[in-house]
Amino acid sequence: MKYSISNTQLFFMMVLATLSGGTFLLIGGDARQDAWISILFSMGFAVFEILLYTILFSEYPKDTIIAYMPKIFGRHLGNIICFLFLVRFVYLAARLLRDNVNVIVASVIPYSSLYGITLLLFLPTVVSLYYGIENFFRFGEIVFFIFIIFLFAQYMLVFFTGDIVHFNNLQPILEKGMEPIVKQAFPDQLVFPFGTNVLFAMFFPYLNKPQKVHKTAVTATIFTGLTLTLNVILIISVLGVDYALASISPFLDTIRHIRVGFVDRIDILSIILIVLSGFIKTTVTAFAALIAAKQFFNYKKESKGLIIAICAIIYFASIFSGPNYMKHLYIGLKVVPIYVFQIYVTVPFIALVVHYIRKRSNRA
Amino acid sequence: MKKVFIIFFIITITAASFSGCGKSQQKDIEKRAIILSAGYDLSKEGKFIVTMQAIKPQTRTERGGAAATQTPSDVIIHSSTGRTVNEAFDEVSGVLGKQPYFSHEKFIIIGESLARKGIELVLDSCLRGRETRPNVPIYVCKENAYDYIKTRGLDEAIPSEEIINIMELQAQKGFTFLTSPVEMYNSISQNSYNITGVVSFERKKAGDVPSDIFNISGSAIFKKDKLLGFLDKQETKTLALIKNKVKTGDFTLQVPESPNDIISLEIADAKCKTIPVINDNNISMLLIIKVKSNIAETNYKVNLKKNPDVIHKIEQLENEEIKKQIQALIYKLQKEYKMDVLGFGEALNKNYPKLWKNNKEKWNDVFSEIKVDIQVESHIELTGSITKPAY
Repeated sequence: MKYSISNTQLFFMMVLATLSGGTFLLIGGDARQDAWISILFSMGFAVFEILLYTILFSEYPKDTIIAYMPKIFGRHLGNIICFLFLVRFVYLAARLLRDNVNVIVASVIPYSSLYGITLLLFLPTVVSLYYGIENFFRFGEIVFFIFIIFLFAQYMLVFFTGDIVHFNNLQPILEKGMEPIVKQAFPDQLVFPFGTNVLFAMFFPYLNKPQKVHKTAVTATIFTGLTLTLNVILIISVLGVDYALASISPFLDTIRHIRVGFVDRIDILSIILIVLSGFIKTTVTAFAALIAAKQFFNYKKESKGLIIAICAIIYFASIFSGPNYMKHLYIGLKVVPIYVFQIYVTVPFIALVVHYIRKRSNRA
Repeated sequence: MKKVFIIFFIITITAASFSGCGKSQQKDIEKRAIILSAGYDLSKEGKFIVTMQAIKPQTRTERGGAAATQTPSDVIIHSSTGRTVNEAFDEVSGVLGKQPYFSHEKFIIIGESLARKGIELVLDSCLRGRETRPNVPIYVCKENAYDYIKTRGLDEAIPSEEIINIMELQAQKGFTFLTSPVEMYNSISQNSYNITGVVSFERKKAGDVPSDIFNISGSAIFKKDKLLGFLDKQETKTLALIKNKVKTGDFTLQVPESPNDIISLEIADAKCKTIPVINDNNISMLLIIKVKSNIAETNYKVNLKKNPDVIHKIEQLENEEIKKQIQALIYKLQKEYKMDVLGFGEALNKNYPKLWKNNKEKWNDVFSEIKVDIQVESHIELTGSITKPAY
């Protein structure tokens, strides 16, 4: 493992990847105006989710998920689980690519060919895979600063635009009680947006200070959770609950309301942020898929062929992911999370339990 | 060196093939009809008549000898018909040779007959379009929107620019409302009443030349997507006060003891809180209004520097006057119109959602019987640059 990434870089990337999906699509559909409460809940659960992985990592300090699953479950069951993770990562990368493409296509160029635009947006990811993780994470540091500064600048501008932020749109609080909130938070929101954290378990072995991983991961989750809460509060306050739920990109609609002096019509800035962070998230997922494939198929050296193979699969999967954008969203938000939840949460939990039982029986 | 060349080649090819060079994606400014405002009417067969005002992209200096009697104009007016709004706009490119471009649309005017029938298609096309901005105000006009879109105003060569400026200033004074399609969408989903502004004409004759001045005051009441009724200028201002929309404007008071004396106040800020008060299932409303104003003009012969307590008396007068106007408006809305435009239902929902659920069905009747308590606190800070009128 000649790569080495610092904890700060890990923090930046975790925040970027999770914020990228969460800010720009509204989450918390059933909870309506209490969506922000449901995000705070998921944040709590997500901390536990990521701790599962960091604890597993500290037990197996040089291994990614794919490496230690067979050690815990034995070769056959372990391989099945690894395959599930691999498929999940590849499929996720394909879906994210499709999401990215749709953002651009829906807002800027609606008539071009899907194959061409997807290829264009995918090429930076492929090139990043060639150049390796360390370089990519360094790039992530720069993107993080740009992203956070512009995101919070936009939030400020929304506040400064008179008369559009109506906090009473968030009322009545707890109108339907806690039930829809908890139903939304668990399991759906653990997969999106907080499920992205799980991908980073593939990168833990590359950290140069592995003992601090717990603190980094939990801080990243909390920071992301708070930002997402602020985001949802702002969106609902400006747009109103009904319109926010009906809109395809509520964040963009909120930013379109900004009018502070001469600062008007800055939605192109938001689109740039969305595409940039979407690229980061897609590439992180692609890296996770690449490392998973490398370890699953037991490649010892870097292989350009493997990169091309994985990329080709991701490319075609993304184009065939759903005949139109609505179906694609539906699959992603309603059909997939139930299965993925098992993979992301139940499996490592059982893994931890099995690991501790074995440890104890080995000692005895 | 070879690598640089390859990269350059790839960039050029992709830029050329994926940019908007195709015929259907003309984005040059001369090939786009930049729409400044649109008017929607109902034709006799029930189709949409869409009138649009588009800008003519040419510089002023080119048109040297413009007619002296008419202000030269930089806009094109065009009208088209269709079963839906989109179909009507589709025709535009057939006539003008340009695709319509909505990002600069400043406002929308809907004719009265269309508004009464229902504006759901217009609203939907506004919100679904990816170029229309979400905060374009919707206006209703008496008679046909066509007449308003095609009229040239007094001041500027681009009438839409002039109108939107008037709209924004009038909205700050509370004479009109700037309701966006997003707000309409939300109020339709929640089945509550909504208000839009109204635009009408005052036809004046300056010498021999008739000129039309836009009168942007008054408001229209909508339930779901249908127009139900109108409010006049004074009622709209009072309603705007209750809805926290008044930011400036004039407020004139008559001094009761000396009927020739009159005071004009300039509003600096106004806030109103609508609070539902529950007493054993008895619903009543409390309106707390705080107004900050300054004295702008008066002939009331008192030296305010020597007698500052008189200011307190003027504040009392202001409280009384505002309270009277609100009571008149509430009476009209409760007894004559029976429409909860004041937002009482929403205030109840936000604070006591269970009570709202019980009363939702018969809310119109409940609303007409609600007792409203009005507390006005006005505060006069400054008296202008002088402390007493000349006497």
